[in-house]
Amino acid sequence: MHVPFCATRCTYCDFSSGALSAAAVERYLGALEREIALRAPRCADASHRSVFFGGGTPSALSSRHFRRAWKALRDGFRIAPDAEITLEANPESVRPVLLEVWAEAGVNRLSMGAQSFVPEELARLGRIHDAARPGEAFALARAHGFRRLSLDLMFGFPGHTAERWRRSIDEALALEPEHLSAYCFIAEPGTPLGDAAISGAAPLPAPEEQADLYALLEARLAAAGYGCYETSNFCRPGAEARHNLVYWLRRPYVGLGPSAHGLLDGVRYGNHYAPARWAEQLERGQGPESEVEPEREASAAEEALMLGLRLGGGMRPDDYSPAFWSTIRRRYGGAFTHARATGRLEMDADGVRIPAPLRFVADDVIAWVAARGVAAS
Amino acid sequence: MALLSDPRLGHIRNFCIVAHIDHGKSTLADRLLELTHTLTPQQMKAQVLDDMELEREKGITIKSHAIAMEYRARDGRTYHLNLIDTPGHVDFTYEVSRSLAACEGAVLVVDASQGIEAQTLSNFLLAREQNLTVIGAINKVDLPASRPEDVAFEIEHVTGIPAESVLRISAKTGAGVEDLLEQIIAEIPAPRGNPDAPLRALIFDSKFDQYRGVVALVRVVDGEVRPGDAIRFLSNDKRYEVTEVGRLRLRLEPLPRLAAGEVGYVVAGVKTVADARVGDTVGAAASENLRALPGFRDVKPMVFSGLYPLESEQYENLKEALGRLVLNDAALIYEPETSVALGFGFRCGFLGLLHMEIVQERLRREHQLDLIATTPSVEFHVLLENGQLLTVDNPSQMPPANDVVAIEEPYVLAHVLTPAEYLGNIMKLCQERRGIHVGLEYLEEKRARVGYRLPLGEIVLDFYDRLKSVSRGYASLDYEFDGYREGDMVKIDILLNAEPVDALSAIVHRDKAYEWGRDLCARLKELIPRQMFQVAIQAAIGSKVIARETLGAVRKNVTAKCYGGDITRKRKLLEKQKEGKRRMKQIGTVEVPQEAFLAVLKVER
Ligand SMILES: Nc1nc2c(ncn2[C@@H]2O[C@H](COP(=O)(O)OP(=O)(O)OP(=O)(O)O)[C@@H](O)[C@H]2O)c(=O)[nH]1
Ligand code: SF4
Ligand SMILES: [Mg+2]
Repeated sequence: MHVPFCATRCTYCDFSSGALSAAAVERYLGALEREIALRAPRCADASHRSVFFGGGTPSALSSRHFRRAWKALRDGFRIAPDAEITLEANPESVRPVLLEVWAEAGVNRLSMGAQSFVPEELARLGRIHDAARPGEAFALARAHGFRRLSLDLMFGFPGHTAERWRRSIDEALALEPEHLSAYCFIAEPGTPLGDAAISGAAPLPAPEEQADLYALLEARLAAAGYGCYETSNFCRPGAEARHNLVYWLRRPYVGLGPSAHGLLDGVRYGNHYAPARWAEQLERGQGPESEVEPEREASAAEEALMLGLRLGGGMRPDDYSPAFWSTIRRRYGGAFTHARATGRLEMDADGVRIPAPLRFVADDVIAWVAARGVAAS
Repeated sequence: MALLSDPRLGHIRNFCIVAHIDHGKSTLADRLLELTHTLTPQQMKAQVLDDMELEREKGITIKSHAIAMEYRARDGRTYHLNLIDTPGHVDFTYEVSRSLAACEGAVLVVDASQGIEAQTLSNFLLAREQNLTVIGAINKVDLPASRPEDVAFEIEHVTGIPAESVLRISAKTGAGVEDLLEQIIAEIPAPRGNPDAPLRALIFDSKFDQYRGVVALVRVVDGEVRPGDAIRFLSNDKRYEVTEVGRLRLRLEPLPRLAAGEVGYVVAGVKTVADARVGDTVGAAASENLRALPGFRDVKPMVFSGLYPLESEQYENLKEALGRLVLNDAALIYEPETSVALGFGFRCGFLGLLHMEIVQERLRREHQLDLIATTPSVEFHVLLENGQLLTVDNPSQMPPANDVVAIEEPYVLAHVLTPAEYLGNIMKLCQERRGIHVGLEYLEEKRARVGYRLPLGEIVLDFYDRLKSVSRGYASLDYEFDGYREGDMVKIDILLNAEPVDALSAIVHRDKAYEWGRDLCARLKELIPRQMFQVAIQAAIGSKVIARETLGAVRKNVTAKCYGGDITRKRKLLEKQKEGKRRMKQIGTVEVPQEAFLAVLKVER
């Protein structure tokens, strides 16, 4: 569920998000209820094993608003008793009242955007919390019984250095998160920092330096007992985000809210990006999608490849249905063998994966294999 | 054969327009077509006879184009004119000589600012060799830089055509063109030949038409030909029944008959071009004792290169496309070959680099084929220890140096025409290319013609460009095959991560080997994108490495985020990345882009 509100906009962000106002939130929730009514019947038999409140800033919703959203969701869908329920929270908005409401609703995992622990960097990134705030938020969350906490970091943005990166990583590790995501900065056109990077006004570190920052991250996290289970995601053993794996293993999921995507009944859909446009469609009784693409065997196999090879454990037969795995074997079996022979992939009984040293060039490997896939006979 | 023209042929004039490249032949043809009302104003456009897409795009003529015109002259009589516009580029000289064989006269066009250039002279000599009447015309006199008096003097000096008989024209404005047409009628003789004798016609060109099969372009020398006539080709005695004859307009225009002296086309259900070869004589089937008309020397390919489909599944398509191309391009030859690096392909022979470029371009456009071309090579004669003599036109087929006693390389006799001030530069260039000076003459005080025997391998790739650059564009080149001479040749291999890439091998002179190797390695380093692993690019003679470059590994190529909404975006990106990968050829562990195979063409020597 995408919650499209933020207190302020960060300088690098192009997510669907708008200013927080009571009227906007009311409209959002009304439309959300309509979307749930629209989608819920289509998965009446399913029991949902994970829920993810993403954003935007889900933690920006007041307790009343959050309860309303949660009720709509629970009334519409069957949620498994042991479901993983994650909520993205910005450190500055984590307060005892909210933590209580979340816990009461069953949220059992919090993902906090820290991005950096260096004050100058936080300012440059447009973050409104200070470097100490994530630590305080963590302590509060722990005190409220949250046992699965995740932290987001960012690296490779303009002006980033190895020395500062090390500082951020160490501060993050000191909080002992169960899970950690670290994204290499993407210069999104139309965002202040993205444009400055593209125009050269705020030069990006060279790709080699970004690669070095990633290597630094991997090494530091490995030493602290965190494994890389996807390009940008690390965790203590067993602390993988179940919800993320739904995307990456191409399991069905429902997306709700503006810009949300879903994969349901063999169709990939994407909702309108702008909250107003999304709401308007629903208010008119129409579908909120801006794109709908039925999956084909070829697109499904290619997607599975593109997502599966990003996983630390790679593509494993057990993760797919036997029929789908044999499709993958048929299309890419030859390419896998060839890729292994040229050092691009590792392959054994557990599956195929990109060797750790090549993780930061994963796109190259994936395209290489995809280009050698054979069309179904 | 009658010495004088039969009065029945008195109204026919067959002529071609010849010149150095860009001197205005096709534009002059435009004016003649207008003046004779051959085309409607709607059909008219600049260089209308250049009807191939590539001709229009490059602004040059590649194939000769024949077209029939009618003209009511000042003497009140109506004449049937057959005009053949010819290409000016040296690669296509054979087109000119064939066109000349169908004509009694030639208009030699000379650019009023450029003056006589290499192909002005070589085409003039071809025309004279075939006893044609040559009319001189100085073109582009409308340009401020024109110097018609000097050029007229040059023409007289070089060709013997009296300066005062040379017309000043502008093919652009049309000035002087009507006078030229009158001069053509007055000076170019009507065809000789016997209208009453059995049919004899010379095939001077042929093309393939989807519906008609082979269309032979002929010059009827004796007799006549009509639909229903039984004919035979004298070289192979194959017999056919004529289904259609006609004259050449923008399209084929059927006529009831073609008579002695006329130029036109004959269709006779011939399925393969090989059965109606250019240069062959078409005769009346009933007459057994016909003498064949003089044909043409076989055109010999000068440059060879392997053409490979980028994607190996395209092999059959490439084969079919080449089969179609030769129907209209007799100068192209090809045969299957295989390469370790590139798989199955064809070794092709071309007249020169322009011809090679055009063939590749046509395969690309007309047949949607993505190709890789191997390093162009000339044909070597190789004498082996065991006494065997080999011809090698593919560097990767060169036997190991130990087995070789001697290698002979082809030479050309080249003539460069240049303003005298660049003579020093040009002689230096020829010397660098291992040229043997054979003569120097002055066409006039400031214009020289210098002769060199040069190894063909030294000039096929970039000599022409270098020549232009050392003479600020003023020098021009003409060459002809001049036999084989021994040379100290070595084979240079290119290795990528220690794997030889046969498609990049070259045979070069030992003195140039180091430079070649260094330069090619440096260029490849620029053209091959960084790979996941470091790549060593090496040049080697036998097992001895003579040059090396190292291409560092790519460090970053990854999408940071790949969640719900990113997936569609990422898949589109992957489509592009895949396309990029497909345009690369995997050689051992290294991915090599198509363009890298062109690097050889740019090597400085
Ligand atoms: N100013 C001027 N330009 C001319 C004249 N005749 C031709 N040109 C230009 O010269 C260029 C070459 O003309 P073409 O008619 O294509 O020359 P060509 O001899 O047929 O060239 P190739 O067939 O490639 O050998 C074109 O840009 C013409 O427009 C002329 O009388 N005056
Ligand atoms: S808080 Fe998150 S969604 Fe909101 S602007 Fe910042 S990065 Fe974007
Ligand atoms: Mg022309």
